[in-house]
Amino acid sequence: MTYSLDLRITGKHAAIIKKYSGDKTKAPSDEFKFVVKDTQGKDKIITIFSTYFQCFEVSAMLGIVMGEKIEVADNSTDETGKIITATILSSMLNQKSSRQNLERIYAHLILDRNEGTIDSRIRNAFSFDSVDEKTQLNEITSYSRAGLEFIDSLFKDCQSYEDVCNSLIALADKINDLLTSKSD
Amino acid sequence: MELRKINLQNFRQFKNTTVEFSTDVNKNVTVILGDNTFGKTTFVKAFIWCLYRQNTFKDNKILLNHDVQVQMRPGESKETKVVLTLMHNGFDYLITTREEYTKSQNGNITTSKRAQSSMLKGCTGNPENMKPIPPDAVSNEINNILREELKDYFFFDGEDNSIEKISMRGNLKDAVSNLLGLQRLEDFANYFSPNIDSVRTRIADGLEKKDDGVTTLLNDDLLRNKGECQKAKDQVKKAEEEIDKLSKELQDKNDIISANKGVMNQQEEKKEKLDDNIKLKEAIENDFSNTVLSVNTTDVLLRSLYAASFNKYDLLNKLSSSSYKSETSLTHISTSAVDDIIKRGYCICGAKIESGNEAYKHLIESKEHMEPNDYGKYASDFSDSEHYNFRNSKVDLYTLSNNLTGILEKIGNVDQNNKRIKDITNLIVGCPEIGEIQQRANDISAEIAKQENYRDFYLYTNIPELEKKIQKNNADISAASVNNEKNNQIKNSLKYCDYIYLAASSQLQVSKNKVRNNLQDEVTKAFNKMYSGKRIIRIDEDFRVSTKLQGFENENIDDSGGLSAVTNFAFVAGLISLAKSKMTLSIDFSDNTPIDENYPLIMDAPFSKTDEKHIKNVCSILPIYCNQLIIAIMNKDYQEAEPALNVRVGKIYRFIKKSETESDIEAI
Repeated sequence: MTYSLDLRITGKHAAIIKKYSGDKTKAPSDEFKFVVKDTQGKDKIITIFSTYFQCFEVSAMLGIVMGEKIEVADNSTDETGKIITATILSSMLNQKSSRQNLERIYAHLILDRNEGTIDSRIRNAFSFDSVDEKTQLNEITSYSRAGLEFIDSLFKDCQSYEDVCNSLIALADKINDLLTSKSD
Repeated sequence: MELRKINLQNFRQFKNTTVEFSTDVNKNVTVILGDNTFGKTTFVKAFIWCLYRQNTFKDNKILLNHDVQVQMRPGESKETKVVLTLMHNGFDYLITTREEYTKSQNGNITTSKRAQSSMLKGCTGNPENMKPIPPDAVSNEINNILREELKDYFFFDGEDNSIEKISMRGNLKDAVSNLLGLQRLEDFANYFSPNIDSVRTRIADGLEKKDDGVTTLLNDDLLRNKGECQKAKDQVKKAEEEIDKLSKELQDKNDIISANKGVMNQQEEKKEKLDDNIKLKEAIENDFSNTVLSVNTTDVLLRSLYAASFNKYDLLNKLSSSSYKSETSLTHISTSAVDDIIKRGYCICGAKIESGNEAYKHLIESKEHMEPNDYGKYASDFSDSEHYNFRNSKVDLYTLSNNLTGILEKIGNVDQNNKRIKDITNLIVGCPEIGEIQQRANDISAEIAKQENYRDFYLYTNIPELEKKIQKNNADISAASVNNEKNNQIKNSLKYCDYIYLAASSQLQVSKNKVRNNLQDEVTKAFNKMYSGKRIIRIDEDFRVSTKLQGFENENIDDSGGLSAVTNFAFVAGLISLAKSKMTLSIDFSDNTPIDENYPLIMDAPFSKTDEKHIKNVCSILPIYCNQLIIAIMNKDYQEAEPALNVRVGKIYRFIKKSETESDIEAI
């Protein structure tokens, strides 16, 4: 699939992506910095995800494995009254690795559902060219929103390295639980 | 000197206190019990002030009792007074030292009359016949009883002069020389010395010299050499003064270090924790950066989530239960090739293909197993890939958790260190920085060694060379002088001077060796009685005392002052014993009566740094060596001392602290 549209995450979910992701093109604004105290007690900006896209795909998979999604986009605004937006350009989506990851995520999304026969799910999961771009990204984004809220719930109160480590351990434990337990 | 009685009036915390000392030869110990701040040090210092008018109090130089100061009206004057009654050399003495203070209009207390001593003297047993000594003769009379420079060997106030510090004194050599009668011999030798301005110099000045250039040059050379020799001697004196000053400072530092061993350990522990925290924090910064970097660069979370999804939704089983099988995959055949075969009407195998027949149905169905509908292969590849990822993700996730736990452990260690640092800081608040003091002590030791080398160079190299030159100058001048009757007489006198000088110097050296050997014997005897261990005591050429383990020449010991206290008790006992025996007085030219009778020993808290076993030994021995022992001692130390001291105690008192500004002493 070739993506023709940029992917736009809005509102509080965009704010979460901005907060925990690095954006090499510009310095993070004060509003969306993830800042904790380092060992000397000085402010340190932490980047959990290197790009918006990485944050998006991890949060999407989190939503999928948690079986949670948020279909309605949030439209919270920033200090200037504009809707907060995190944009992942189509050029990024069309990179080979990004595309493969999106196909893989979508395959999980379809296969994990308890809808239809396994054959029909396989057909849906792997009929890449027959799937509408917008539909695919909307589906993935709805799971991503749930995942983003979970990520934020883990990291939003972090004040120190210790808090960040504990939150990452909590995230790893959560994933580990899913690695060892089966869905009902 | 035998002390009979002391009376303190308005002297610091003592308003009117009298203590009579035991003069019984068999019970020659007077004990005054008192804890810290009760007035022990003040009591001992009262003797020194009364005899020498020396005010050595560090905290407050005003001796007048504080309550008296408060009660004084502006313009009013009051005096502080110490009266000491003693017997010496068959005479009774009543020495009174007083100082007057006046309260100014603004309430300040100032000294209006400096300390002055008066004295009554009379034959022992006739107190009514005691007569006043003229004021200008009092100091001289007191010095005849005990010379001021020797007081430190008899009055130990526990502060400036404690028993632990005695052997550290840089001027020990002079003091011992004084005490044991060598000083006058040295003075006598110097009187005839050709090397300094002496009677010999003045005689030599009388020589009629030839008025020629050679004699002038010889005279200039002599003057220059004498000048340099004097400068070298001044340098020696300066170095010795510096060594003395540094030795005292070193002793003070070592005292602080010894008294704060626990603090030093805690300060070292604190420093270790602080250093540890620096390293830990560096490690945390590195580990944290690397771990967070690994999260956002290795896709560990994403891959683990794929694996979680694969496991949670049991995709392995679900996919294998599908009708799409990888075995049916026709990956390398395209659907257009199948369409061509159908269009051609017969298969590659030759079978006829007609719409609806079996071959046709088979071909249509086979199109479901090739691109882009090769679902069996897609599902199989997906399943294989995710299964493989599932296995690896567990390890990746474990590694991530492990790294994070490692960071948390380090953070926990920092917190624990900080807690300990805080506890230690609270424990040692206000304590001196022992590390810095230790460093200073090391620097002082190095500086002492430097000064000693400096001194030794002048003493043993420079000065002897200059003295040889001076002797040659003298001989040359003598030879070059006018040959007449007067000069011949002068030359004979000079020869006589040189002979006396050589004889006196030689005798001085012999006497010093004799004194040192005798002192070594006496101190060894005392030490062996007091000390129970394998150490031996030594006295060097400068009368410094030290102990060594037999067979260990260069030994560093750490005894927190306990051994040095015993060592110094032995030194003092040996010194007194030697002085008493007058062994040194048989030498020619010596002082007739540097110490002509027994002397008392007055001490404040002498056993504070001595262990229980040695307290008993010292207490058994010390009263035998000194004629009279007066000790102000803490109750707890006396408990240790009492069994050994009891039989010798003639009088016992205790300090009573009535308030912060008033103490008294009462007999028990």
